[in-house]
Amino acid sequence: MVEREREPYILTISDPNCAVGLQSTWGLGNQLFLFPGKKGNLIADDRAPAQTPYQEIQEVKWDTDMHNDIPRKLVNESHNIFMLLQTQAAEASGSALHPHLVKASKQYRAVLKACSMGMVHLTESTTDDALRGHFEDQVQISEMTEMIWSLCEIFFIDVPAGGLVITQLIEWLRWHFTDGEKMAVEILREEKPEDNLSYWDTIYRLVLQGQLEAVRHLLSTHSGRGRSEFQSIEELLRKMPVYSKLFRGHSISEFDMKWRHWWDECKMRLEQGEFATNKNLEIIARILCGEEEVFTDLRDLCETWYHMLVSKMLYQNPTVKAADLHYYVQGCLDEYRVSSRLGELDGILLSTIEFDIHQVIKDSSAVLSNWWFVAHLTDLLQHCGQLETHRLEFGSNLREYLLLEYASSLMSHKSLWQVGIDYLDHCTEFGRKYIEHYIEHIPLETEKKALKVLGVCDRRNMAEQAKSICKVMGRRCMQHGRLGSALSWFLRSKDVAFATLIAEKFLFEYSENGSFSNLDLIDNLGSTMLLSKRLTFLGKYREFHKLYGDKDHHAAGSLLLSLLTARLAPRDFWITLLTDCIPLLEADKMIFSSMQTYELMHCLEELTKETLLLSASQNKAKTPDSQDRTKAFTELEKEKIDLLRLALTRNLSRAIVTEGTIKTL
Amino acid sequence: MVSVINSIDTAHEDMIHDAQLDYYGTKLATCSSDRSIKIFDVKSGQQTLITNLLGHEGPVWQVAWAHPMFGNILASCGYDRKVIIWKESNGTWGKLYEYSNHDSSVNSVCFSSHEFGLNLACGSSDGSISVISSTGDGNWDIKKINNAHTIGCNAVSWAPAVTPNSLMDHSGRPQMVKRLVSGGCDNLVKIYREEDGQWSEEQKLEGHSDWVRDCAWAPSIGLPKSIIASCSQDCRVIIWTNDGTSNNWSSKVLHKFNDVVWHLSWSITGNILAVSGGDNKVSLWKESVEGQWVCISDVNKGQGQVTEGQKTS
Repeated sequence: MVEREREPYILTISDPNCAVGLQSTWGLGNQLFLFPGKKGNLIADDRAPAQTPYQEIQEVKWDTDMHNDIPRKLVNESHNIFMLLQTQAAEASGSALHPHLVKASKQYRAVLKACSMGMVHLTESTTDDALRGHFEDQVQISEMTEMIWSLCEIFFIDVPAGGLVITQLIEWLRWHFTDGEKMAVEILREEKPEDNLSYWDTIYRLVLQGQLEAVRHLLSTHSGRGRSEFQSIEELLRKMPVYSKLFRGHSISEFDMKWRHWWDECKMRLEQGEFATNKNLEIIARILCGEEEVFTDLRDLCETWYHMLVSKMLYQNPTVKAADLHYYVQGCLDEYRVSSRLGELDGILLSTIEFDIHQVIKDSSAVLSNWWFVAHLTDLLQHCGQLETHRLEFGSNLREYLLLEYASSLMSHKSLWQVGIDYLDHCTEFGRKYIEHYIEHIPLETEKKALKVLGVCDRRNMAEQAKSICKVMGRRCMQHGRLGSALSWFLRSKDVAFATLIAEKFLFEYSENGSFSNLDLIDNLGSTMLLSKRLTFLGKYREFHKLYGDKDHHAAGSLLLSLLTARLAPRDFWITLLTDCIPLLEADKMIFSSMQTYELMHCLEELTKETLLLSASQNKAKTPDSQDRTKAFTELEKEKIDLLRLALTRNLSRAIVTEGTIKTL
Repeated sequence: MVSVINSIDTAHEDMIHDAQLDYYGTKLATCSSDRSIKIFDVKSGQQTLITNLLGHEGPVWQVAWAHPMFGNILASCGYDRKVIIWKESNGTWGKLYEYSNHDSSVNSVCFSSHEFGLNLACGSSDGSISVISSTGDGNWDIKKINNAHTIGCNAVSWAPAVTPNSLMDHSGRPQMVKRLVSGGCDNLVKIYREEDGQWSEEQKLEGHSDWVRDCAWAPSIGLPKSIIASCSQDCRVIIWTNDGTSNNWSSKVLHKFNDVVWHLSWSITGNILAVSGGDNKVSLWKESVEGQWVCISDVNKGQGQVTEGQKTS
């Protein structure tokens, strides 16, 4: 298979500054930022002076056809069709899948048609010339796409039984060449249709398209309809066998026989000169006989080689099989060859008739400006079993390659990225990695969007990416002072360092203000508090407060003690904790046992000794700016310690006595 | 079909040497010979200048964005031998850290994948590469690879976090090994690897016949192979491939251009390579289904006419 290389597309930037060189940086998806400049020679400092004081950066995008409003609808609707098809393909295969595939194909074409009509509407309603030109281009592309798709459907997807394609091809023809019908309608409105200059041309067109009813209708308005030649032609037209649904029950050979019989009749009447009096009717008869010259004469009415091909087949060889069609192509091509190079569309249609699927896909990728068509069609063809799924060099198969391209072209759009992700899900080789890469670059403008993106990660078990997103969001919250939200993000991403940081901030708040902010969050930490020691302490400390508030003094006391002895509490906080003990020690009921009191005393000793030692060493070293972590006690703290000592001693004595007393009744 | 969407007037007073878009495509940082670094907000088609960072005493060669999970952090390097890490806090940008331990112009900076933490590699004309790592508590750990390239190092780039041919540790997760690729004035492309806290040269890739100006390690798409692209004053771009089964790298010349190739960069998923050079063109290259590198698009300068939409001084 000879490769037809696609010419690289060249875009020219008109910026005189770029004369010194052009550089680029990647944007999101298919986007580049370009600017003039180059790295200077690094040893000699030779920078070319700027041409103008202003240095501009050009933003360039490609494959963004799908981002405008109307194509966007196309994207969304074809997305639905695609997803449904994948599910169906997973559950069924072979002949069970076939009707779904045909339906999907027709649905794709329907949404394409809707998109095209929307564009036509836009073309008519827009006043901007440049924009209108753009829309017209899009309409043309849509029409080309529809033409190619419908032909592919006939040859590859909805292959008729026995391979006889003429019926579908005729339909295809009628769908795409509508001039004949339109003209017929206009002509029939007139008083005397036959006087219309295009009367006969219209009839020929309709004959070439096999629209024999319409032809008979037009002929019936002719003043000469009573004459024998008119009657004769009308009979022939009426009796032409058509391989349609009526013949389904019969075999091909039966039809063939009937058709030959009819053909013989046509030939006979023609040769007998029945139409000699009326050149126009003679032409019709010659068409019916499938005579070569008449087609050449009517070349202009056929407009294109493929129209002529179908018309010829209708009258020369109606039982032609799809696979044999290409034998007849050359003759038609010769009629129309203006230059030796085929038009792009022609080339693709030819490849279709030649059953060269790969060429069709390759050329379509090059000609049509976006990946929508080739991606969806190839997917469909793969499911039809029309594409051999051999691995290509790049690591996967053609279908995946195209789907990746299509999905990538959607990723830079603010909402279509979700559609892109769904498509990537169905790329078994690289889809996941692509998602992992792209998902980290989706801008997280709002919390809502971040949650949406997170949802995407969670559903696909992309833990790393989820974590990274949570970290970004958490940091953002912290920057805006929203500690509570920040903490929930960090908990979600299991970020120990940040969770600790925030817990410390909360604790600091408490020691400053005497109360906690974000109470709900702290109260409902549950097992997440285990993420960081500081956080666990925070949670437990809050629990202590709750117990105290609920007057469950014993539990509160035990908890407080355990916080100290388990070394869960940070050293800075000990003084606060110990101070919290005071009311418990001084309470009417005894709360702390002697053992517990001893432990508390022990803690206090540890704290004071350490501080004394450290401040002593600080004095010795005479380092003025040593870390202030364990500074000497403030006056207030010293007071508290004294109170504490007193309370501890009193409780101890009470405890010893109580414990030592043997209760007697 | 490629089309110009927008143009951003940077108001730089001298040549722009680098422009980098942040992770989300919302901020564009540019640096110039006029010693300043400008950051623009480029969301939804408008451009507003966010800040103008001054701190370098000579042309600024390159800027690099860190992963947003570390906050809004930008690194820059310049002719004044300095590497500055800038950070945004409470809406204002300021210097976070300044590193001036190079003896000559620092030409290239690159942040590693976030999985390794916050690490910045810097390549300098004094031939060495520094790796500046944040220890998390506001301190920075410096490692230097001396004599990486004789005469000078022009470009550095990090390997993606999960290098395909790394070993799996006992928990089944791949070991994360830090790897760097660098290109220099000795015409070589070298790969360095960190092991037990030390950096050592792992590979020397020979193929260019003149100074290597830029190199970039392609993002990983889960295949066992690794790909590095390098470009040089010998007008060639070479694609180096390691298939993941051994330590051998094979090379393929992507294309021989008409002039020096200055810069190249990979798209997010690594399937397109953008190459820019002295022939005033930026071309995009993609690996086709058959494994051949083909040029898919060319963007080049105009002939100097100014169109209607253009600004004039």
